[in-house]
Order: sequence, then C-alpha cells, then structure tokens
Amino acid sequence: MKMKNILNISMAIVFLCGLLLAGCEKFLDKQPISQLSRDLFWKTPKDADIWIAGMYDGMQKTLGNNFYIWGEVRGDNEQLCGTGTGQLNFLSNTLNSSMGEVNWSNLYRTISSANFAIKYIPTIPGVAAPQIASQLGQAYAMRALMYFYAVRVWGPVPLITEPYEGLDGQEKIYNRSDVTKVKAQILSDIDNALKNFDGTLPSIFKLNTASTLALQTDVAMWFKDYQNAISSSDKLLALNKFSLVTNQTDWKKQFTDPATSTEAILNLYWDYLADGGGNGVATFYGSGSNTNQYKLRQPLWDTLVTRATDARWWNMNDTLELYWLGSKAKVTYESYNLQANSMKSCKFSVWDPAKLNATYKYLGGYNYPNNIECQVYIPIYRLSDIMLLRAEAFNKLGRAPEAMDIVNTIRKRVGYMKTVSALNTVGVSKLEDAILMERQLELWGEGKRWFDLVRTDKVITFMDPILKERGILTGFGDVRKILFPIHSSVFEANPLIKQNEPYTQN
Amino acid sequence: MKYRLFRRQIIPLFVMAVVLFAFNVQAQVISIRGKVVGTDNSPLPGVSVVVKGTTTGITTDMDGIFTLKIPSNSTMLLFSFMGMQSQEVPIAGKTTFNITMMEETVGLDEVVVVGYGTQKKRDITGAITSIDNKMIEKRQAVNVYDVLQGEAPGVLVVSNSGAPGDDNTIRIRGTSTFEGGVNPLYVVDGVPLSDISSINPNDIKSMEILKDAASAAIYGSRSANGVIIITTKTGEEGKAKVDVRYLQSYNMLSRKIPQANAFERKLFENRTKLDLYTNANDSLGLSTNASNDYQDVITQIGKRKQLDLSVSGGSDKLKYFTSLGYLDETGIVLNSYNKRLSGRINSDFQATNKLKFTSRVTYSYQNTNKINEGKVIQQAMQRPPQFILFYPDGSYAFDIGGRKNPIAEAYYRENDYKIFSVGIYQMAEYKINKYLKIQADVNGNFMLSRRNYFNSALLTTTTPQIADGGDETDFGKNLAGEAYASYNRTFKKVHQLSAVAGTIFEDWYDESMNFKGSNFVTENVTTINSIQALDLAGTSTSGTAHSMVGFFGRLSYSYKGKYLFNSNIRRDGSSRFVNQRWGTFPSASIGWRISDEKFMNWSKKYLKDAKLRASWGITGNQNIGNYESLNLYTFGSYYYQGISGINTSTSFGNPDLKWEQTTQTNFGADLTFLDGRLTLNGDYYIKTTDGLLYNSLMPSELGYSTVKVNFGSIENKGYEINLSGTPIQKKDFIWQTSINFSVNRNKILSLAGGDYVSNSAWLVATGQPIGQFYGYKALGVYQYDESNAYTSDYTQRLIPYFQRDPQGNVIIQENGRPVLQGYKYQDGRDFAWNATSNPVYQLKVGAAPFVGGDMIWENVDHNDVIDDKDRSVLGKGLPSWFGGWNNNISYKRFTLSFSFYVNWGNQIYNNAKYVLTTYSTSNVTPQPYEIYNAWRFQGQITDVPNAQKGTVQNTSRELSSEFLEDGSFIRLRNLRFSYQLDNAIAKKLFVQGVTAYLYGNNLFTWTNYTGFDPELGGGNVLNPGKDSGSYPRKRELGFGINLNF
Repeated sequence: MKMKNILNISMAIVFLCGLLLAGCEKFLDKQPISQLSRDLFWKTPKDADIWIAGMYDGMQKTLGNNFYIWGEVRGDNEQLCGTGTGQLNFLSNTLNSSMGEVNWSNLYRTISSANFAIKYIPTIPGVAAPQIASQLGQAYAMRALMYFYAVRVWGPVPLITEPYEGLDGQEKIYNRSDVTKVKAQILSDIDNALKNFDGTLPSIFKLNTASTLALQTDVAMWFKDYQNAISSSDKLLALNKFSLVTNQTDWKKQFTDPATSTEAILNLYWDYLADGGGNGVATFYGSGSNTNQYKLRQPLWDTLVTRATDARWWNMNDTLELYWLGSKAKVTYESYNLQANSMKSCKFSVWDPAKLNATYKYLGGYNYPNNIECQVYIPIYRLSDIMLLRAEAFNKLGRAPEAMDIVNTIRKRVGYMKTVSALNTVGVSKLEDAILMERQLELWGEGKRWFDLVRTDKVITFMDPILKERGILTGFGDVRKILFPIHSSVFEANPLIKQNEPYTQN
Repeated sequence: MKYRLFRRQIIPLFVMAVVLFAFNVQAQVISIRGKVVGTDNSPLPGVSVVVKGTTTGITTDMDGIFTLKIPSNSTMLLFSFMGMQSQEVPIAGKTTFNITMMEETVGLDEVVVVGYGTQKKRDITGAITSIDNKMIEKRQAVNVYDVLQGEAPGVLVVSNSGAPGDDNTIRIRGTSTFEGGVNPLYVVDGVPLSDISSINPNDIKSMEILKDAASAAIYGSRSANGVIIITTKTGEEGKAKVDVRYLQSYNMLSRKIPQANAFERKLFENRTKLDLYTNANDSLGLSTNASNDYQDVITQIGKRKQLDLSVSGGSDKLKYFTSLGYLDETGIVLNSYNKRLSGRINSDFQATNKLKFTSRVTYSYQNTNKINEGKVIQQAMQRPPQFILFYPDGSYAFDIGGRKNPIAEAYYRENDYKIFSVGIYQMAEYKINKYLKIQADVNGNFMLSRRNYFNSALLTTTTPQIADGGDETDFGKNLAGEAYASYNRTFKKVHQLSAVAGTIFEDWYDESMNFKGSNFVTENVTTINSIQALDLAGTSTSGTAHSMVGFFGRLSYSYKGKYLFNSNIRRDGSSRFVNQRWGTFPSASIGWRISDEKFMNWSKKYLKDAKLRASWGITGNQNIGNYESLNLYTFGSYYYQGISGINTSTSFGNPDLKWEQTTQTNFGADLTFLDGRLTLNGDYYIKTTDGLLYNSLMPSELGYSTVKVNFGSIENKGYEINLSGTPIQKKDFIWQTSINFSVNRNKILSLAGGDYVSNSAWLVATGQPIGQFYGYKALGVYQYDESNAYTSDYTQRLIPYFQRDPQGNVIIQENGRPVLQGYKYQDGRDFAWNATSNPVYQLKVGAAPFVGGDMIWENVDHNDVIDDKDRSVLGKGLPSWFGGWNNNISYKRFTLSFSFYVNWGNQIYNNAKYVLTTYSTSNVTPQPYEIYNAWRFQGQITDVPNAQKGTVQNTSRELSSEFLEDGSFIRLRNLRFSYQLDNAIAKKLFVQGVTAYLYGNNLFTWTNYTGFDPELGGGNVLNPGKDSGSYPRKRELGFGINLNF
C-alpha cells in the first residue's frame, strides 16, 4: 500500500516533469528585447536605408581622425605644436604596432557593413530593383573607398567580400591579398556602384555618381593609370554639377558650409551629440579646449607669405593677433608663433564678428570648437582636388598646357595671379612639383599630402631632409616604412597575417 | 485508509475543537507553581512559561519562581528563554514543576539549512559553515558582508571602499572564473538572489555557507562560486515579543597619508635647480598663499544612526515576525551619505495539520550620494597645498591650474541613487503522510533604481561653462516558481533515508532608461526637463531577459549516523545558451563517524565525536550576457545625418556556448573534544574550472571584435581550518574563542589565446596564478650619469670612480660634472676600462641612454634597451592566507567580544602614489618623502629618482616594483562591551530585558602599507590589489541599546 503510494506519486512526478520539459524549451527561448535578431531584418526598403546609415557611421569611426593620420601627418605639412608625446611617433617616423591609429578594425567593420548590404539588400522581398539601387550602389562605393584607404595604408590586405555569419564552412581567417587583387576588387566595386547609381546627386554627405567618379579618378592616379584618371574626371565634369569657386569667401565656405558649395563632392557628416563626440579636426589644428597638436610647417607659411595675395594664407591661419601685433613685430613665422592662441589653423572654423578678444579688446574672431564638440564636415573629395589630379595626369601624358591651365585657375580664384608658365616649369618633373605644391597649399589639412608623396614616389626626396632636420640622424630610413605597421591585435586573432617589414609584430 | 485519515485529521481537529470549546466556556481553573533553574542550579529569572497553544503565561521572578492559573484541561507547558533550549513539559495533573533548563549548545544536534531542506549539523558530509544570529549581533553590521568577514574559513570578504553604501567583494575558495559571475549565489528564505545588500542583518536568524560542490550542487548552474543560504527570523509561540535596538556611532578617517605642505610644495617646484627657491609668483598673490591640509578639509566626523524594531510571536497556528529598520549614515568625506529603510513581514500559518502557508514580504528603500572619488579624494591628494580653496569673499576657487577644489567637487557634483526593492514569497507545504511532504512556492523580486547626476557649470573650465547631468532608471524583476517533494523516513531505527525531488522555473527581466544632456536652463532645476541639449549618445533605453529551468534531486542515507551518504543531481537549462542549453551537475559525498566505531573506544574520554568526510561534485556558472549566443543587429550608437543606423553587434554570437563547469573534490574532518568544549573542523579541496567563459578576440577583419568562448581552465587548491572552544567555563565567567585560517592557491591551467598582461600590470599566463603583478623591477637610482655602465654582455653593472681631493671628496668641476677615472666591478675588482678598446656599454630607453637620477631597471633579457621584454613577476595581489580570531568573554552580566582579521602575504600596487610621481600633469604634488629625496645632482645617493616632467620611461614606469608595497595586515576588526541589565530591575522598568553596549569597528590596523587602507576590494577578477585612492575606510566608535518587551 505504502509502496504503491510512493509509486503513484513518483509516476505523477515523472509525468509532470515530462510536461514541464516540453514547456521548458519554449520557456527558455528568450529573444532579444532592444536588439534585433537577423531574421527579423531585411524586410523593407527602409531596412536598407537604416543599414546604410550604420555603414556611414562606420565611415565616421574609420576616418574621423584617420583621414588625417593616414593621409597627411607623416608628410611635410605640419610640425609639432602641443605638449603631447603621441604626435612624435608620426613626426619622427617611429610608428609601431601598438598605436591605436594603425588598428584597422573600424575600417573592416565598415567593409563588413557594406558586405552585409551587398548580400542582403537584393534579397529584400517585393521590392523592384530601382528602389534599392542607390543603397546597393553606396555599399559598393563604400567598400571600394575603404579598400582604397586600406591598400594605401597597409599595402596588401585581406580581401573579404562576404559578410561573416559563422555559416558552416565559412572561412574565419584570411591571408593578405596582393595589391593587384585588391585593386581589381576596388575597380569592379566602383563599376558596380556606378551601374546602380542613377546619376542624381542627392547629397554631398553620401556616396553617389559624382563622388564615385572622384574616387575612380583618385584610384586611377594611385595606380598611375593617367588615361583612365582623365576619362573618369571627364565623366565627373560632364555631370555639370560642380564648378570652382570664384572668390575667397566662397573658398572658405567649402569648409564651414560645404553643403552650399559648388566645389564639394563628398564630405563626412558629423553631429557631435549624436556621434558621441567630435572628430579630430579641432584636436589637430584649432581647438577651443586644448592646445592643438600640430601647426603649419614654416616653409608653407613662408610660401604663402611670399605670395602675399593668396587668400588661403589668412583663410587657413589665424593671423588676427599677428595683425594686432603688427605694429610691434614683423610678419614672420616667429611672430606668428608668439601668438597667444599658439598657431591655430582657422581653415575649418567659423568667423564670429561678435567674439571679443579679451587680451587685445577688439571684436571679431574665429570660433574654435572644443575637441569633443568638433563637428567639421571633413572634406573627402573636392573639385579642386580632382582638378589638380587631372592636371597631374595631363602633365604625365605630355599635355602641359592643360595642366598649367588648371593650376592657374586654382590660384586665381584665391587671388594669387602669378601663373605657372612653361618657362619656369620645364619638363614633366618641374611642372609636377608645381602641381604638387598647389595641391599642398590647397588641400592642407584635408588628409591628402602624405598620399600625394607616396603616389608620386617622392617620400624619400621630401622627407629624408625633413626628418634629419627633426633630429633623426638616419633620415627616413627604411623605404619599406612608407607602409604603416599592422596593429598587434591582428596577429593575436589571425595567425595567417604577418607584419609589414621592418616593423615588429608586437 | 479511511481510518487512518480519521486518526490523522479528525482526531486532532476534535481535540482542538475541545480546547477551543473549553476556552469559550471558561473551564475550571487550577493553580500551578514551580521553579526554573539552570544547569548550575542557579535560579533563572525571566523565563517565559506558557500553556501550549494559548496565550496564558507568565515569566519567572528573580528567584526563578512562577505561579500561574491555568485551565484544568491544559496539557502542556512551554518553557523558553533566550539562549536556552526550550522545553515542553506535560502537565498530567501535576501542580508543581521543578525545571532545569539546558544551555543551547553550539552543538551537535543543531540543525543547519541545506538546499531544499535541513540536516543535522552532526550529519553534514559537505563543507558548510554556519553563522547564527548571536554572531551577527556582535558585529553591529550595516550589511551581511560585515558579518561574514573573518567569520567563515574559505570566505574572503573585502569591502570595496569606505564609502557609505558601497559594494563588497566576496570570494569563496578563490577565483574560479575570468569574467563576471565570481560572486556566490545567495538564497534568502528559499529565493535565489544575486544581491543581498538591502537585507537588514538584524532580521537574519542564520547563514549557511555551502563551499564544496557536494553541498552546493543542488543549486546547480549558479553554484560554482559557492552558495550562501540566509534564513530570516520567524516568530515563536507565545506572547508578542517586541525588540527595539538603537545604536549611534561616530566615524573618523582611520589613517592619514603623508602629504606635502606649502613649504614642501615650494621645494618641489624648485626641483630642477640646486640653488635657492626663486618663484615668479607674487608673494602677495591671492591664489597661492594658503597651506591646506586637504585630508582634514574633505573629511568630517561621520555619524551612523540605526534604529531597528521588531515584533514577533504567535500561536501554534500562526507565527509572525515583522521588523522595520532605519539606517542613516553620513560618510567621513563631505556630502556622502547612505540612508536605508527596510522592512520585513514573515508569517507562517498552519492552516490544517497538513497544510502550512509561509509568506515572506520584504521591502527596502535606499538613498545614497556617491561622491566622485577621482574628483574629490584623488584631487585632494594631488592639489598643491598653497592653492586657496576660497576667495576672500567666500566663493569657491573652483579650478586652479587644472587642479580641482575638492570641497566644491563634493558639493557641486551630485550623484544621487535611490533604490526601491520589494520581494514577495509565498509557499504552501502539504504533508501527504508522516514521511512525505510537498512544497511549492512562487516568489517575485522587484527593483527600481534611480540615479540622478548633475555636474554644475561652475566646475567646468570650458567657455562658456556648461552644466551637464543625467537621469538613469533601472527596473528589474525576477519571478520564480518551484515545487518539490521531500521524503524522510527511518527504517528499523537504524536506516535513515531522505530524498528530495523538484523543479524550479525562473525568469528575469531588466530594463533601463538613460537620459543625458547639458546646458541646463537653470541650475536650480536639475531634472532632465531643464536640459537644452540632449546627448543622443548618452541617451538610450534597453531591455533584456533571460530564464532558467532546473530539475533537482537529493538522496541521503545514514546508517546509525555512522555511515553517511549524500548525493545531489541537478539538470539546468538556461536561455543564455542555444545549442548546448542543458547542463547536468551531479555530486556525491560520504561521511564516516569514526568515533562510533568500536576500535575508537579508547579515545572516548577526550574525543566526543569524530567524523571524516569526502565529497565530489560538479557545479556550473552561466554568468554572461543574456544574448551572447545570438547574432544580433544593434542600433542606438550608429547615427549618420540624423538617422539611427543599424549594424551587427561588435561581439560575434557563439551558438555553441555552454556551461562553465567546476569540478570540486573536498576532504574534511569534524572533531569534537572534551565534551564539546573544543571543536576542530578542517577541509582540503581541489577545485578545477573547465570551459571558462571567456571573451576571445575575433579577427577584426571580419567586422567583429570579440566572441565569447568556452576555453581555458583554472585550478584552486586550498585548506581551511576552524578551531573553536570554550577555554574557561565557570559559573560567572565564560570565554569562548574561535580561530579560522584559510589558504588558497590558484593556477591557470590553460588559456584561450595565450599568455598576456592584463591592464599593463597583471600577468595572465598558463601555469601561473591569477593576479600576479607583472612589470619592471626597480633596483635603485643611477648615482651619476656614468653609473649607467655595463659589461658588453649587460650582465654586470660597473661602478664608476672619480677624481677625489685629498679629503676623499669627489671633485665636481665647474660644469657640475666629476672627472671619471675608471670603473670597478660590483665586487671591487678593477675593470680594465678603455674608452675605445674596452668600453662600457650603456642601457637605453628607446635610443637615449639612462642618466643619473634615472631608475636602474632590471635588464631581464640582457640587451641594450629596457623594453616590454624586461618585465617580470613582481608580486601577487591575492593573499597567501587569511583568517580570523573571534572571542567572547562574559563575566556575570558583562560581555566583551572582539575579533581580529588577518590578511597576509599579498602586495598592493599603490597607484594613488604612482600618479603623484609621474610628474606628467602640471600641479600634481608628490608626497614629502619623494620631494625631499628626489635625485637632484650628480653623485646623490638616494632611492627616489629625479622628479622631472616627461621622464616616466626613465623614472616611474607602470608597473614598477617601486610602487608595490607589502599588503599584509592584522586588524582589530571589532570590539564590543555590553552589559545586560538584571531582568528583575528591567521588569520594574516595564521591560523584559535591557542590553547596553559600547563598540568600536576597525579600531587598530597593524600594517606596513602606506596608503589609506590595505584592505582593497572591487575591480576586475584578474586585477586584484590596485589602490587607486578610493574612499578611505573609517574608524567607528559607538554605543547602543537593545530593549525587549
């Protein structure tokens, strides 16, 4: 009787447990609440828009500081200004693999975003191709732009064109691909982007036909394919949407209000509140909260001063106090250096006529944002950039007059009337130097100069003496140091990848 | 069957009906009398004598005598007295009673709470430590953690700082996991909880710490770090008992750190020169002519007031305990406080003979202001003492040269937390028969936490000054339901069998809402409606959920209490895992009461009881994020042009994640000597954790940064000894004492992704323990520039010698340099120096050689540079052993209790001191010793390197052995002196009992450590022993009174 009792109860418990177990799996299936599982996404064209916004956020994180670190600081544009020591690594050509600036994780995260977009946007159900073509085009163009930065910075890089989703058999570690393979991918992505774009140019803050053509020109120049550079830029000009500015006020506006400028092709949008802080422009050139880290190198300053009428001088450099001190001191680099606000560049800063200078008691001054509030729309491509690339290509192809014409136009619009003529620029090389100089002055602070030096094989020529001047006895040293090191964290997770010689892995 | 039912239910009902009837008709009354004495035959006053099942009762007088009129049909008398074993005495017609009451022994028949049931302490086969309410009372504890420190072997308890309301770090038997989930599981009255800081320690009846796998495994998946079971008080049968406790204490900074005064600061400012101090500052300058003692300025006498009130009592049907506690603490640093109101209602209702309902309701409200340690305490340590704090008009000097005014920071930086929590528990128990009962309960815990922070514009240095602030709300709930059956039976009087089987369902939901903004309309309104710019990146809401299901069972068998066997099994499923959702956690333990064997008869005289134990089991850990097995798309931080974009989560979801498993083997012995006067408990354990839940790096090329994996293994081995006894037991004088001692050794067996240095100071490496400091060993200071001289293989440092005058003084030339004559080996032999053919070699930092005044770093790899590869293990952040010594001495009505806590053999990284000596930030002031002794000229013999700015690589690296200090300490943790008023006198005051006491906490600490306090908690599991200058601990002196009505 008792045993039976126990048995009955046991049976009941077993039965109950059985029921419970069946219910358990359902009970234990907890879906995320404020995040999204993948199978609920990619349902409407709006999903594509939102995804693309996330991809541009990746571009912000990739280029917000690195547009400058990768593209300019190692060149001959700047010298040390602040009190920090991090800058010295760039200025004395002693890069190492633990510097955060050489970490490619943000770049590849942006590529991953593009890869997801390219794979999944076409699968959005019930949508006609034209509805999603623009988003798809932006994904291709973004992937091309990111890989283009990657090859310029690290040379051969892993070429990944599909999103990683942990699928069965999906490759998890990639080796580095030859630059030629990456180049082929960049070119085919550009072609795909152009096929998808319908030729309208809705915004300078997003990739479109024009910015993709600008990218195509830049890529062609990097790989010394001058003919294609000219044909790509021809197509860009044929859009008839851009023209060079005609006066210094409009020149300045390209940096303070690019959306209204006729020269702006692609700018990086920024909103410090939404993006969780400012981009690097203030930190590097002109900050309201700290000493800026870099300042214009003296030869450039001297060139601008010698030109006297070149409006880029005072539109790039805060010469206000210099003018104020004018009665006391000569207009020299040294007197500029004495300024209270330690040589800020005002290229990206807005003039505020009501601002009071407390020391000298006059009205009017530039508003420099605090580092964390800097929301400059960093220019990625401008018409003058493409025009000067075009000039370079003309020069290389022996079409010097066309090249000189471009350089002169660029100069005249900012008030410098002296023309480049065949007389003082005999030969391809001289004219090339003149074009490069014009690019240097025009594009200072826009992340272009170092790439210019690398592209035209002039790193050693230009940088060796400068580094010696900075006290590095060996000068530039190993020519392989033109490439950046790969960040040490990469080797921890991916044993296939080897460091760029002569850098060390950790 | 029917008859049985009748016998079991109808008869008691009938009896009860008769009793009730008897009351109603005022049955005949008889008079009884008697005397109650203790074991020493002395009369016991104040003993409660109650007719069982009624409220009729009285207490004994001064001579232990009572007289009472009772209904003639009464059957049973109940005698109870605090600290004595209660007795039930059948009346059976007697009218005089002579009762001897026995003291409640800390003894063998005590019952301890184990998972889903109780066990006789005598028959325990696992490693369990029990703490009862008497121990708790002695501690004047603010929270449960205060009770645990030094009380239980194997349990390391450290409060994170001295801030009121701050958290604690608690480790049972070492660190057995890498990321989160190192805290034990708390089970409060049957409810698993992760946080118990809101529980009033005065409500606790007992705590059981389950340390080995065999005891803990019934809690399966979350028990790998041990389980602490807390049982709260319940009412006792009899008249309502009212307890009132009040205490008040005064707290002060327990120790001051040496800090530079204005004169020393000026010496420091002159550090680069040898000549007299010349300061460009105006000697009448306003802002630089103070001499502040910042530690005095930012601290105050903190006060703690605590009032607890409880009412308990009941009948045989309904027992209740209800309490209300209020705590008001002000910290020893300005404007820090913690207030807590907590309440509890416990009721146990016997509905029928078979059916019992148990309810527990708790609620608490806590309000804390946590001051910003970095801005208040650390700034106070750094700020030059001559900077003024106030302008002559009384307004604050907020920021001078980048250093903050710590007083202003304490008052103008608001960081207010309000936490409400409620817990509800309802249980029904049904006895099917004498042996079998079923219990089922549902419970819910709800928490609402609000944080408001506001940083006044006055504190900022931007132009224009902008205030910022935020508002954060967290809401959490967890609901659980469980049901289990337990069976208990003794066969043939010798085979005792018990079994438990059951299931539990638990469900958690948490959500949070954060708002952040700046530019307040007015600082008089600091709520979020006052902001003019919303910070999108700091504004978000989120919700997460997870659930667990468990099935568990236990089987225990005991033969005559001599051979004991226990086995638990648990199967758990967690929503946090996908492909390997379920885990099984078995355990078994055996016990052998060797003292009951015949061959041990010889020892009976001394050894009252001896038991050997062994146990083995597997426990689990699943304390990771709720969705780490899933691949998610996230948003909220990917804005572009006003659109909130979406992207994959940065961590890749690993669907193959599974339970982290800890296998633990335990051997133990429980010995009782000399009739219970001395007990010894010892345990040895080996604990191995496999499949560590661990964040592994993803190749960043794939667009993700990390992935959670199960990889790696850690081993913890150790032993624990607890010795307690009563060395003196006389009529009026009793001394009870106990000592416990714990040792834990920890070793990483394997790692995902190889060895690494965590946060640039701790080595994480296979074959090595967790928490070892790793860095550069400082061997001294280069006396001269020329002292940086080595043999070509860099194995020996050479000693330069210089031209001297006839008096033997080194001749210093006009350029400040001595004239080098040659080098000697360390042992005094001459080195055949020749600048060209046999030169000396110099150590470098980067490309530059070290010079006089630089630190001599150990050159581990014997090459020419000091770099990453020259780091070595410098010490350990975890103690070699720790222990406690607790004492209770009573003489007549006086009791003195005190306890010591010892923590031995670890080092502390004095990071607070390190930041003062990097000299990289302007206006940071080092300590006086560094100021006086910093190297300044060629030839100076000192142990402090030069104090130049920007020479961190030369003089003060992170981590350098220079900043590692011995962290051992002995602390007189608490001392309490109490007096219990004579009950007879108390009675005249209409009170049953009065106890008054004086106490002190943290009175003395013996240590070589130079920071505020060597007790350090908090921080990452892998990074123990770093003192960043957190809120200093207090010395507490107080008094209190307990009243029983």
